[in-house]
Amino acid sequence: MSQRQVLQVFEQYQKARTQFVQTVAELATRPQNIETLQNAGVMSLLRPLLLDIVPTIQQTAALALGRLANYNDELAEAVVKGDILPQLVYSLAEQNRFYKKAAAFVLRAVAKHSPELAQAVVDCGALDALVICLEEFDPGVKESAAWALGYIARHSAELAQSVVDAGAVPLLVLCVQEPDLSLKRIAASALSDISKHSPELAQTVVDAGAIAHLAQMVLNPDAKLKRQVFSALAQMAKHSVDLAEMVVEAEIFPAVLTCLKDPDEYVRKNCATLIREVAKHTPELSQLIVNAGGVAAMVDFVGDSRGNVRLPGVMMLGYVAAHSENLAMAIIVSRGVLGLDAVLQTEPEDHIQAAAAWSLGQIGRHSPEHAKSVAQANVLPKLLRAYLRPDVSEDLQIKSKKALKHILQKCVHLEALEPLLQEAPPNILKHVVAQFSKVLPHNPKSRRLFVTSGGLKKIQEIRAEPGSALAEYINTINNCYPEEIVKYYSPGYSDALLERIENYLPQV
Amino acid sequence: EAEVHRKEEYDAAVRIQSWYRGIRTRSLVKNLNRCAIRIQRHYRGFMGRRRIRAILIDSVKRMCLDHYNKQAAQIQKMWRGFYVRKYVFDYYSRKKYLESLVAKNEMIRSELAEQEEAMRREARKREEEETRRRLRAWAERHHYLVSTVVQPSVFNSPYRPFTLPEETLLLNTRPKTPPKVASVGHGFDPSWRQYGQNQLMVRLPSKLPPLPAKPQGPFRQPEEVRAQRYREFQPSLRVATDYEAYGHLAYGNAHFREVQPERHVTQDRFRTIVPPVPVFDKLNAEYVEGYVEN
Repeated sequence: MSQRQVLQVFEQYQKARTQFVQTVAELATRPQNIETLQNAGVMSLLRPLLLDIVPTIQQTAALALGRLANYNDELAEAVVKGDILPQLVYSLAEQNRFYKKAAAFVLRAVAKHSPELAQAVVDCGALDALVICLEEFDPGVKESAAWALGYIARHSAELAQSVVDAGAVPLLVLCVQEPDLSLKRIAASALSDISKHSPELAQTVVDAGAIAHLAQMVLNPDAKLKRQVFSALAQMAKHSVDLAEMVVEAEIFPAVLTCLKDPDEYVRKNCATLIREVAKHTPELSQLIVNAGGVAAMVDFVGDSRGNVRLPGVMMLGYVAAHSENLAMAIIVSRGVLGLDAVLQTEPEDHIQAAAAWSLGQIGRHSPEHAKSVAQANVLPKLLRAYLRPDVSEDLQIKSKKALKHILQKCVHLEALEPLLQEAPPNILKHVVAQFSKVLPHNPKSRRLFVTSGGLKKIQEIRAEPGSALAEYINTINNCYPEEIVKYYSPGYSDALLERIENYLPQV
Repeated sequence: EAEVHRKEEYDAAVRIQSWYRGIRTRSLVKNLNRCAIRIQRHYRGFMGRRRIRAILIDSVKRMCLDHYNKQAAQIQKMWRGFYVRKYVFDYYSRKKYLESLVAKNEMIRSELAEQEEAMRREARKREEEETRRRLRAWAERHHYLVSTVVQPSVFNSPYRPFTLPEETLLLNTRPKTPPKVASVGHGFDPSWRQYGQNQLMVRLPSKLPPLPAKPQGPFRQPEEVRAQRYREFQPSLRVATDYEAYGHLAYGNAHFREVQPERHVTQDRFRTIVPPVPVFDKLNAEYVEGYVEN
């Protein structure tokens, strides 16, 4: 055979390989094909193609592997078991940028499913190779490497620590400053994943100077970038007072309040999370937020959003109110109680209602003024109903009971307490009656109102064990009124009168 | 009988003597005791007084300290009450603070509402721009769907009472020809007359010619070399002028160097003060005799 014919055989083979690998890569983009591909044993076929001489075939094979591993974790485990990772890591250091991108994609696809798979990726020494990729010029390579590192660090604190030990954090902070938008997004999300686990990790990220750069991007028009930036800042601020203060010193307020009105709802949610994490540490930080007008913005946010998105907002109002009665009064004045009331009424989910109940309790428990403002918003019957409903979760029950108790212990606004007399179970009733017994001895007008509104009648109908606190309170109340009135309202009085008629001898 | 009494008397005497001795020793001992007691009494008094003095000093000190503490506490009490009433729980300043907070809240709310409105407007504008761009791109590529006089198009169907807006859109947009496939880059051709445009930098060959086997250094930077090699042609004014430019003016021929003797006032040369210089005469003649023709 002539030389040309021999070479033609090789060319045909190469063409066939290229076509195979390109078609597999294309098919792997559609989920319905992946089952068939898996059953046809595509893994074992793709593995030797990774070592092919032609670079395009290598890259496309890596891309196809990445797409397959991305789909579910069985395939990712097959990638790990097939010893493909060491080969990928080795060539990650040497090959051109397209191959690096594809290899980083495979690592990311494997690491994203579970902590064990991520640990397997780390054990192959992928971290050093990925960190070297972060130093490349091409933004696409940096993006894939940063994405893979983010997915590895997401699972647990040890993995995040190993990512930090590989020296990734300063490079990620450099990536955040790049002009390429998607690279910024991915780097911000990786920083967020690293700093969410523990205060030391967050401190490492902050020491690399991340806060200043993230704070600059707060007013960027791109929505997805803002999501990641706010999430990163929130994760950093949540661990300790110092970190929260450093985040605040980057002068994000009041610019952050603008983002509470962003059209994208996840930006709003992450923004609210950030404000909550800052506000929960100390009264001074909460005071700062209140003075910047944050409470008004947050109340509007809670009113405009629906569902899980408004949970951080509700919690933030509770945290701020819990610090001091000044701040609670500030929330009341900014119409926070009405907002929380709306949440309690309209939300179907239990945990959001529980958060709203808790926040209302924190607002109302400081002084009679606060309790009065809360009670006037007609919140107490709703809390009671939330406590008594048979199908609620335990969390909601406990929180609404505690909130009721706190508010009732300070509430002297009797009109709001009277509806509770009708429906309350004994442990709540005790507090209600206690409040009545505190106010009635001193205030004649309220005594009259109490009688005319039928409260005295209800009191008489309550059966209390003698010697309990409830009986004492009832006694106190009864002592405020003359004998005849008490007897008149006591149950069975009409029967007693009728009996007297029977025993009465008419005096003719 | 004296012997009998001797014993009795002896015994009596001894008894008396013993009693007397007893008295004497008792009185001696009593005296000694009394002295000792006296000494001890004085000593006890002395020690006791000393101790009492110490206790007294101590208690006086303590009383003084208590007094000072109480006074200090009184001062601190009054100061704390004053401070708290003035600064911490100042009712009026708290009221003012809450009012100013309400005002600030309103301000923030209105500002945020404005910014939200601006953001929405921005988003809407971007969307509109996007749709307009897409429509224009479609119209540019589908110009062939325009209806002609003979053959009405899909958008101008005779079965429809009105023409669709796509028709007007197609008519109003200038069609875009598909982009020319970029040919292989030519080298620079100096005979091109399209100098003045910077398309030379665009049409550079992708590869420079290969270096000879033994390179001779040091070389200049390839960008410098390329810039020099493909520098724009900067022609002089004479070259740049069109050959026929001054057609109506017969530039470069007889008209500019023409001599019209019939219009001279006189055929004589000007009279000179200085005698004529022969060299000038020679120079006044034409460069080549007979070169210029009238």
